[in-house]
Amino acid sequence: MTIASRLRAASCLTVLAMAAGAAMAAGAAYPRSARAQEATGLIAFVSNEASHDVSVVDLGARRVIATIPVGGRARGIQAAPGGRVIYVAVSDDAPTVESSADAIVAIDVATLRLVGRIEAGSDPEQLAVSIDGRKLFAANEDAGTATVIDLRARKTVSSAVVGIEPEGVAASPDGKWIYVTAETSNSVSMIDAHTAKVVGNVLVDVRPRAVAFSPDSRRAYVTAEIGGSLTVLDTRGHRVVGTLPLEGNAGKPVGVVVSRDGKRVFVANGARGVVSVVDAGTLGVTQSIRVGSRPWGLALSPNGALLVSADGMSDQISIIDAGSLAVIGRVRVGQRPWGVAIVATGSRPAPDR
Amino acid sequence: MLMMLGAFWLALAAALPAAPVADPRLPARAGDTLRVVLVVDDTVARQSLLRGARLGAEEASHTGALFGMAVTLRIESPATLASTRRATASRVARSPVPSLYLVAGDARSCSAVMLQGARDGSPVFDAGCAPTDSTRGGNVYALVPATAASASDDSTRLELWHWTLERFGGEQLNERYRRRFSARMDSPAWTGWIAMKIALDAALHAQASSGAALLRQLADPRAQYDGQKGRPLRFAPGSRRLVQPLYRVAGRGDAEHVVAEVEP
Repeated sequence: MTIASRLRAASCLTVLAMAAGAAMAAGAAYPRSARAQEATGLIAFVSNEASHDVSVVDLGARRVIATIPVGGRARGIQAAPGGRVIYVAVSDDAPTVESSADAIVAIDVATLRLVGRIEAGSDPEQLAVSIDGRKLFAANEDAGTATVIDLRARKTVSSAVVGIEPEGVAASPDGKWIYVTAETSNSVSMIDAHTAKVVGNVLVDVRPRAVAFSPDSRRAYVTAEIGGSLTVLDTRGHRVVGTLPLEGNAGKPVGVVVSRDGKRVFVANGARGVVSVVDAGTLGVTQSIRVGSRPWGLALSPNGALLVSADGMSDQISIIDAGSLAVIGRVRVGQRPWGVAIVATGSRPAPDR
Repeated sequence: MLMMLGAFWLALAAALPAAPVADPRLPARAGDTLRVVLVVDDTVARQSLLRGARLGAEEASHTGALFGMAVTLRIESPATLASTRRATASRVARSPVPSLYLVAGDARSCSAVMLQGARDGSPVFDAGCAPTDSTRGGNVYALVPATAASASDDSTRLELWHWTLERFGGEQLNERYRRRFSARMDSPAWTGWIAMKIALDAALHAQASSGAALLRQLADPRAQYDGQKGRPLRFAPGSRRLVQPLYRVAGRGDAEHVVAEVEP
């Protein structure tokens, strides 16, 4: 059974609340560029914090093809290596209260079904899957820890003490490191991905949120929401090599991703409604891309052609051509979209109607 | 696990002020110690200020341990501070000099602490001192705006913090305080908490905990702090007063709510 037919079949399942009515194909107002052809077969999974679900968006057709309820406040979202499973951090609406809603849920990309629910400590917010796909690291905002989960056994195997209010989590492409930011401590903790032990901590700018590695794993980029900046870390020495102000230090940057060639860093500035494009070589801002209101989550497609921002207060995603840096579409999703993960299905999904 | 942690912190509360604040989950490290002395008289806000400072000290200890810095919080009344000072002097200063003083109370008590801070070469954080005509030394930093008390009217009042704040980590901070003390975080509690947070931030950036190092860091015009208010907090260079948003609050009790954020 192909992905396309699985998606077609999924559209008939009552467990999936089809969002055809809500699928406002706002992208129709945008001209289709040749570049947009590269969106064929790309599926974005968007975590919606307020509507407690995940919108599944066909980036080629620029419309929602399914909505998957996840039973809680959906925030951090990541694709496992290989793109077959999407992991979503889910919690209740009361932070610091551990409840049955707190978990990491797994979505099977082929069937769009929830296929797993893993206890992940109190108030999981962001997560990263190790490059070998065996471990999942989740930041527990309330507990000041990062929970390490064995994905085969689907259980917590250890917990690492990091800073207060941990948030951003990223795995280095070389498989060596997990970096965890902490908002109140203004810190980044470096965790050995193999031993799951914290090997160092570094101070960064005020209220760090997200972290992303360069493709060669030599650099990590950390956004600071209150500092309004991007801190650059050298991963060999685990040290700060520079801090770049963004949007006059008033953009409240959150999401960050690095282009596949490592030459550009994209940063979502929540307060300004723009995505900053940073030249990784010169560490200068080369462009600001206007998106929706309060962009937080960012994701690049596996082929690097598309960049998608989750525009939280616009209830939409913006689809950006990562080459021309033009916005080529906007798609209405659930309520208060938070994060995005993109996978390539290898074939164009079937229309749902 | 959360219940165990809560029990630990409750036990720790009973041990304060004598015990250093330490998180047992973190490895002990030999390093610098940030020593804060809180001097407060029996004002109405005393309990909230103490609680906020304790939460701040616990969190500062957690963060400090990541960087090899221990944190202690010693709580004194104006009277005990004076006797401690005499005893220390008679023992040829065996006790370590505090890194920083945090004070609230009447003008006389505050002046005495500010003078002591100047003698020690340590900064003093004003967390709610009565106005005084005497000139403040360059080591005194005010966490409380001068206009807060006078800016209230019949139906609303200005607050530094409110327990209903949610954005920019406000909800998380309010919940941490509520869970720790079974109480709502109010302005004096926030003041105690931010005092400890700023003290640690300054010490970590200075990579030292001495009063002189903290004073140098606090005077750095680039220094900014996060008070969970959504914008960076800074000390005004001239007045050394913390520049921060305030909140106009209406209602009483459970009906209290923030009606507006007041620009710094």
